[in-house]
Amino acid sequence: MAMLFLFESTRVVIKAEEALRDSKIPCKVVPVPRDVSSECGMALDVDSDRCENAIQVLSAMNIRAIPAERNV
Amino acid sequence: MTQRHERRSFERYFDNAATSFPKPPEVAREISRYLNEIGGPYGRSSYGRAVEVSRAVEETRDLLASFTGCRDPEHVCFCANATTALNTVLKGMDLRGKEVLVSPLEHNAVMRPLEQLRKRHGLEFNILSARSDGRIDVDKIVHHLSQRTGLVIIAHQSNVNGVIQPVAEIKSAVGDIPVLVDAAQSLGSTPVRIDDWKIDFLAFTGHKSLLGPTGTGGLFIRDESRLDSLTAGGTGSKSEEFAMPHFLPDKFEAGTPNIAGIFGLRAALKNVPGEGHTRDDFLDFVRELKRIQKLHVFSSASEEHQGKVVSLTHQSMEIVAFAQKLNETYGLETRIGLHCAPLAHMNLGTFPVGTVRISPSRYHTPQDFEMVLGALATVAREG
Repeated sequence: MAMLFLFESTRVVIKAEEALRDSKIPCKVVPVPRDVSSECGMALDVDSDRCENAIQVLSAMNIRAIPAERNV
Repeated sequence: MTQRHERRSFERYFDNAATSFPKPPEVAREISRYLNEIGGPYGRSSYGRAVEVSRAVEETRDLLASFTGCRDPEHVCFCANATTALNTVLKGMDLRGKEVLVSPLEHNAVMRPLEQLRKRHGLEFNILSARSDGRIDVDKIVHHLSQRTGLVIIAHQSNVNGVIQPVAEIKSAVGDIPVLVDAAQSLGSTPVRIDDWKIDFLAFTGHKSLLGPTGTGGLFIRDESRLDSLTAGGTGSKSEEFAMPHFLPDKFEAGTPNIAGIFGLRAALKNVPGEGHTRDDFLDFVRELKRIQKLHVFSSASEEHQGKVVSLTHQSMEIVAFAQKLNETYGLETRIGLHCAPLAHMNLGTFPVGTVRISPSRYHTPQDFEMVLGALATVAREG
């Protein structure tokens, strides 16, 4: 199962992607599923086994992310 | 016999205070690369091209924050130009019943929206005490302040005589009263330190000393709760709502930004050319200018506060004729008139006719300055 991270703005998505890549946590920019939210057009898809790491990295950088499960 | 010089065109161009030329070659290349090879929107979609564009825009925002000494890049919002940035503050703040204080050298990008607000809502504005060159007398600021003072606006560098205002000292003198700095003329040629100065708003443009393209600029906003959005529209965020987002930068970035321009601005910020002249070379130029007979030079009374713009008039020759002679005989391109800053000219004593303004680029050399001095001396003598 993958985790989606949603963000309030385009800038925050880009900074989050940068932070995760710098921390060697693979992530992918994906569309925000409509059944999840109508927040900005981008979300980050992170493997569930790296989700905890991702949350720690984003939290340390003060990047507010809204995690949402999605079925792969 | 005219003495036309066969030189590359930018060496004769001394109107960089209007817009800078040339630009680093990477600027046009990057604009072209976006338009011809990349395309795509900022945000709003998640396919590769949109992500690439979004990364480029955010990198530019980060660079601008770094350039302006701002720790929080999301507080730097893109605008079409400094005029839009200034209007965003003046029309976004609740200034009802308040008084605005301005420097005596403000551009019409400040004075015209203030005049609009005066006519529509009775907004009062007054000019801070200053020296004869327009530099604010910081010691006298306290006498202007009252409970009604809602905003202080300062042109960091005059676009007429180059006077650089002591922003940090001004902010210190006004305390909690918000300060809006117009850095249209200064950013890129004079240090700007938003966080060190502790100012509240800074408006800037990309197409002057930053050497970026026209149609780019920005606004630093320390506390976004102080302003309403000037423009409302799509942001690619909170799309289910009619209300504008309340968070930065989206609150002040409705609509599609000038993506092509931002690519060019990024290129300018990453490819700052070496200086063709030093600050001392320019100060030498101003000193020599002041030695030319029959010319009256409008500059800062203190070299420490002199930015790279200077104006002049001739004791008998009318400024249009003077500038035309410079252009037709020597190919020199200068700007004459009021420079969209009637308030500055009123305070410098050159209203309503104005001055001939000389504003070099980063690329000009001491040899270019010698050429200009020679031309000015000859035209002045013959006048």
